[in-house]
Amino acid sequence: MNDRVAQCRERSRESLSLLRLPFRSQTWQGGQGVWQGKGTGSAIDFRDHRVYVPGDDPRHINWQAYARTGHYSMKVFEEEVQPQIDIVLDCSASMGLTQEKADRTVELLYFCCEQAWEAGAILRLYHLKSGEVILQDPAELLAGSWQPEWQGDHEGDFHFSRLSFSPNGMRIFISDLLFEMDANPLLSSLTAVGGKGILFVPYLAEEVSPAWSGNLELVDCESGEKRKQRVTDALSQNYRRNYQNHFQWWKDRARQFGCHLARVGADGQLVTALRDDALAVGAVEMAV
Amino acid sequence: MLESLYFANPWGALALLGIPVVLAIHFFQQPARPQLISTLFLWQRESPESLRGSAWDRLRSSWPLWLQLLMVLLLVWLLLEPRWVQQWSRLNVIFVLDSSASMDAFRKETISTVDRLSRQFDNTANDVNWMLMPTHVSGGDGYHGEERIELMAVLNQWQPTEGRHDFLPALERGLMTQGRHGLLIFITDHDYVVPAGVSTYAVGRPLSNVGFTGARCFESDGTWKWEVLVRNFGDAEVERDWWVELNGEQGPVATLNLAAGQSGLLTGFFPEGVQKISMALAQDELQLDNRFPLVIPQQARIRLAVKTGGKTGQFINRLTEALPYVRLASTDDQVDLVTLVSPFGFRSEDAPAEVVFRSKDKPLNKVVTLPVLV
Repeated sequence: MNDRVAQCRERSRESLSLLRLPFRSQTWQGGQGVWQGKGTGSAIDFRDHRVYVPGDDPRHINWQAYARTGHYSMKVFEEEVQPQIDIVLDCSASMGLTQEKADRTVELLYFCCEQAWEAGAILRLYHLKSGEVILQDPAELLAGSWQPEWQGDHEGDFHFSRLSFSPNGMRIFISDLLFEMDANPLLSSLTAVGGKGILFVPYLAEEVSPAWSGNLELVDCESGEKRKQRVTDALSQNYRRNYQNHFQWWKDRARQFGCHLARVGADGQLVTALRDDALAVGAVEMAV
Repeated sequence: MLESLYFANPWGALALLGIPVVLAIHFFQQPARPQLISTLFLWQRESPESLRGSAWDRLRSSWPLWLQLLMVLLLVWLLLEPRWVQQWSRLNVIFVLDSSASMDAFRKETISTVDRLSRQFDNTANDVNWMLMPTHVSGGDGYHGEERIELMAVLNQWQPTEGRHDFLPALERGLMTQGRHGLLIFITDHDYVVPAGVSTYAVGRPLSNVGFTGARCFESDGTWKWEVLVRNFGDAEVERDWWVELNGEQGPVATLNLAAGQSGLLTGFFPEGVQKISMALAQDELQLDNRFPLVIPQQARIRLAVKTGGKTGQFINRLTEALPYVRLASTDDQVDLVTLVSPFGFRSEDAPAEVVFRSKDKPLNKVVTLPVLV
């Protein structure tokens, strides 16, 4: 395993004792698993009786009660479900602009994957590269053979609707969101069919407030597009305002769709970074 | 206020060249350095004035630019040395010129120095009193007045021809004249320690000068010959043309080679019937010693009239006969020298005996009277 990735995985594990994904806030449904569902299921734990309705499975008719009362009643058992987590990782070049940002992105990815594995959840991992969504085998992450490749840009729209997200699952999108697109299709995909959308947005301090000034040739790390720019204090101030407006707009859209959008700084420890914003918006919850 | 303003150092205006320099620096400062960023679209929302444009677009109004321009203007102002002339101000400017013949080589420099300095001082006071004072004993060729143009006109006629002499008397005269608010400027090519209060402007420089330093005319074998000494005063060997001029006509040109400091002897003879010739050297910066007139020496003959009788008259007659080239004149018109005896004897309280010299073409009242003790 790449040492750097291994270190990121180790740091993400350390944070698991304090924070975890918001499993409690989700009503889990779906396939057979080890998690107790809110509905009725086929577990051996008895929950309640109810009146027989035509079409019910006759195997669950309480024949002793029928013998006593002459009415059909059904035994209702607890449902045991298996959480389903879909993770989409933005692998564009901007995610690896600096080593800190790349590390934080990998830490977030492992933070999510480790919990999925721990919970026995069905984990599906997608990589977003140059507008294409590629299904990635999570076993590579588990085995430590995965190597992040930060390349490409956000050409074209993300057609998450074409993805077969698990119904009622948790859908996590890890991206810096530094692109121009209509957020509605993306957020709609994340929350469709009972999905719980979570967006982890790693960012750098220099993206929030650039420290450089003077005559610059700004080079877009994704498209390679260049722009001669004399960066003055006033221009930097305008950029900061644009930046804040951009993410305020994303947060507003996410709130409308019931998604949790958490910005995670690349500085400091992962726990600290998650505590700053993710905990407040409900993207993570306390582990105890 | 502006009328009384003048700039003591107009050359300071050259510092205005700093303005285009500052602008050029701001034009070409900070070549755009590449900066890798996550995305451009947040920058592209900014106004297009920041985009790459013409060179003028790169010159932006900024505090450093304006401060640097202000600093240049301030520097120009300081270098110009602005002065305000008071209404009743008066200044005496005295130029004392070294009258040594060597200054002839630096006449142009002297004139340009005075011209420059006088222009500089012309506006420093409401009334400027100019004085031009050569250092030679007679002190002639001077000027005293308030017109700078007249000063320069007199200076253009100035011709230094004096030999070695002391500059101190002229400088002391200048110091006494300059007054409390005067300037005394001594222009010389000599290394001379001036008294306090005198500003010295040195105009001299080493020259490659070759000149006549002496001559001798003598008769030999019935022919008058001449010998002329020429010296190279410079620090390097020189080759110089020389010739003889006879009745204003130039003779054949010969060439003389002299090492540094070396003297050479030129010899020749006077042609038959010629009493005077002129030696000439090719012109160099010091022209005074480039020409040397030569004449065959003639003995002077004095005509003497003895109007003294008695023993004194006899004595004078015997004395006159013993002197060569002196002969007794017969008439008063041809007399060069007349001897008279005072009728009052030889005592001091009486009129002394006199020898009265009379100029040949002058009336008798132009006489010089000398006491003679017999």
